Amino acid sequence: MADTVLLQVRVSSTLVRRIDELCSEGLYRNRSEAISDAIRMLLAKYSRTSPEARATALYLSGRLSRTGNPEELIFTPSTGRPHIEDDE
Amino acid sequence: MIVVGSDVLILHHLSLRADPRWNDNEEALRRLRGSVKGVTIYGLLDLVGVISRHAGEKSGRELYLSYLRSEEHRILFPPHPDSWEEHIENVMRYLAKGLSYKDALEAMVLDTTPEVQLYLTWRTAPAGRLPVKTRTPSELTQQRTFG
Repeated sequence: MADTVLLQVRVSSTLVRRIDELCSEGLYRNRSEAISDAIRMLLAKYSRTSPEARATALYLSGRLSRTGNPEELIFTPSTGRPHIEDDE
Repeated sequence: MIVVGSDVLILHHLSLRADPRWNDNEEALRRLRGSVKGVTIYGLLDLVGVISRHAGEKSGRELYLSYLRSEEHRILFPPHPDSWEEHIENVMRYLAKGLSYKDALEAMVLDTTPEVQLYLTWRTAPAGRLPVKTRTPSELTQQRTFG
């Protein structure tokens, strides 16, 4: 058996009922197996996303720590002289 | 809240000192320092594309994260459409006024953010067709008070 850790988490009773339904349908042997699969899916989802996408998710949920001023970032053009259009 | 257009930010971040708009551009940004400014997500993505093209991918990505984390900037997102039909319906109202697709996207954001008072840009074409007043950085610096 793989190295396992006992994880105590609070989950809504509705979610637990749905997980139990999946188990009774035979999709999973027990709650642990179902929740492990859910965690694997969660990790796979975020392993496919970029740091920018993850930061956007945090920003939209109000959980991104705010610090610094981006206006301090000045970049040196390396590909010719940029032309910024002043109109369409 | 004043929303800053990507053209103003591009001039600043690429430090285009030879551009005749440089001094007024910097003065306007200097005067706005310390107050929360808006940047639409479309404006920010436009900025990131230009910076990536001229200063490399790493710089563009760094700048994107820096704006999200900024205490002085609020990135404005429009309500997410449920479907392409809804998106077309929403954006068509602005395209029908003669706005480019990018301007129409920004107009949708400005329209759904009641706190926006002014849109700062060098571009005069969208003026009158955006849901808020537009000012150039030169006009802003000539004003005695703003905000």
